[in-house]
Amino acid sequence: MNNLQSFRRLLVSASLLLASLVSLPSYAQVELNISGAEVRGIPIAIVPFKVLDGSVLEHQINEVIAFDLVASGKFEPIAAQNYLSNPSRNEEVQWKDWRFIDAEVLVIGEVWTLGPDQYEVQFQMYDIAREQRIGNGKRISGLSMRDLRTAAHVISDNVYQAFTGGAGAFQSRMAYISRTEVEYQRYRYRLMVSDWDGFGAREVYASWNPLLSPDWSPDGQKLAFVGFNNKGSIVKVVDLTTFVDQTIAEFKGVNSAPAWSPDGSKIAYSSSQHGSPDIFIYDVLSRQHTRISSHYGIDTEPSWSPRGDSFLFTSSRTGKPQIYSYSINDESLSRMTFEGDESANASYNSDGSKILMVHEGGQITVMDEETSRLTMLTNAKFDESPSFSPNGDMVLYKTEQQYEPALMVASADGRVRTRLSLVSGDVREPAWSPLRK
Amino acid sequence: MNRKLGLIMTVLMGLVLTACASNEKQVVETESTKPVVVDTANVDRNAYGSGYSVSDLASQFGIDGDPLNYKVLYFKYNSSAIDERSRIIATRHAQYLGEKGGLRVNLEGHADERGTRDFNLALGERRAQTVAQLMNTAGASSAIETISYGEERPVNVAHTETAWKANRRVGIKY
Repeated sequence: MNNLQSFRRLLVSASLLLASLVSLPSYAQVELNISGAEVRGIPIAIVPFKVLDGSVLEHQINEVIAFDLVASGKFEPIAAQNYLSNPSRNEEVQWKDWRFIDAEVLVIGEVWTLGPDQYEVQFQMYDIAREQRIGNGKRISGLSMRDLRTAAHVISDNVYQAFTGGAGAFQSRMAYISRTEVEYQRYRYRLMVSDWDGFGAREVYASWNPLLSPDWSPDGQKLAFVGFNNKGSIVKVVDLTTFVDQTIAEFKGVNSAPAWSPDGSKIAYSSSQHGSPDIFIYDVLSRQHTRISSHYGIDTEPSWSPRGDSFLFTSSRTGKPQIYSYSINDESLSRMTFEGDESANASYNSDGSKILMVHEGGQITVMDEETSRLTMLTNAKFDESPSFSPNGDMVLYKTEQQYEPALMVASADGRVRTRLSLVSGDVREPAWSPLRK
Repeated sequence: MNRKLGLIMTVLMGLVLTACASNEKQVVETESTKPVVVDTANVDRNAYGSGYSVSDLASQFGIDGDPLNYKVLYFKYNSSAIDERSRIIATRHAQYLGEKGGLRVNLEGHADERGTRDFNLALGERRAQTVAQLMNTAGASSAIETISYGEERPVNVAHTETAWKANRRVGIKY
């Protein structure tokens, strides 16, 4: 009797819980790591990699791959506890085990220890529906323990390429600014570079003054960013191999928002040396600065088109900030955004079909270049600093969760949002790198 | 030294108390319905060159006494327009600087967290420039430098209207 009662109570509370879940307003999805459900990603099983000598790895390769593929929005990993078998070799794969759990893609592999801190990773990919192995399996060798994550990203890129047809972005990196309060109200600002998922962050430049607006050179070797001297903000460049930094714009007034051209020969930036912020172009080779715009409104945040023949920028020439495009060749100007009060900090994806921006002061939004149709990636008010992944399938940005700054990655369709929890503390201004060359 | 300070404090407090006491006495005495005649001719309608009386400065703009004691000017969202309170304060500083002559002045422009960081750098500078222009026109005759920190140095980090209001500012330093 007593048992039955408690069971009933359980049932009631369970259905109440269910009801409350169903009635959650849509903005509550921000609270979840992964949200939205109309379109599904490809169900994929990634078997924990068998470590042949049984040594314990710092990072589980299957988990790193799963994290990568989820963030893209194109895959949906099936939890490992549902697997009926755990094959690590081709001959151990049973099709029915994977059809039973509705997996469409299977990834298996092994980690070999070849010597002290010397590893090799082998992996295989399968199309379950067609009962086909994709290719012959691959080996990644010459790995240290730390490289095992990189190996996982290589596998993710292989899976991504094989099943979506596009290039993966999981071997790319990100830059961001980290701020720490060293003493009361005294802050150290550090420009950091890490793997795309936030792992392995290292400092590449530091200052007691604010740092912001990092922008990658197209070869991924340098970062342009904004720092301060005692007269105001200046544009600097730091080399990521030598850590040598140089100042490229320290004119009177505000110098900010650097943007490398796609061929790396120029850096566009904003400077108020003539009183009002205008767009300038710095020629890396000749070190010449050319003034491009000369409106009394605020012109800032230039960002090049993939071909490098035009750039987007933010201008307040009609009152509130909106996005404009300037064509280098015919020196013509066109307004790009009309919807809403404010649009700012725009950038193109790799093929120029989409424009990413901050809408209404803090909502990350993607605009279709041709139709001007807007897709809101976030519903928050204070999201900022968005950048496309090099393949354009994901968007990195900064948000705030429970009053804590957080770096997030959203799939470009807005369906999936993943928090990069390897990066914590007072972080801001993330910028996604180009692909490694 | 401390004892001296204590003595001064006691004397001051005594003064304050007598002031209060005499005020109370006045209240008691005013029993007639006859309106109190105030000598308007003697009220300074242009206190500190502001164009307002001292009481108007306090009631309308929250400026108690000399506007020179106020060094932070506030702005509306996305705007560098100077309101009347800011005009009064900046003008008073300009007059003072003009009298002193040759001082170096720093105007520090700031923005609230809304909008992008690079845009806010520009906005902070624009606010500082607008104040510099006004002070020059009002006869500051000083070297006025402007610097913008955009949204990088907020005085209040909360995400509230109150915080934003406090952060959209130009600080006058000399």
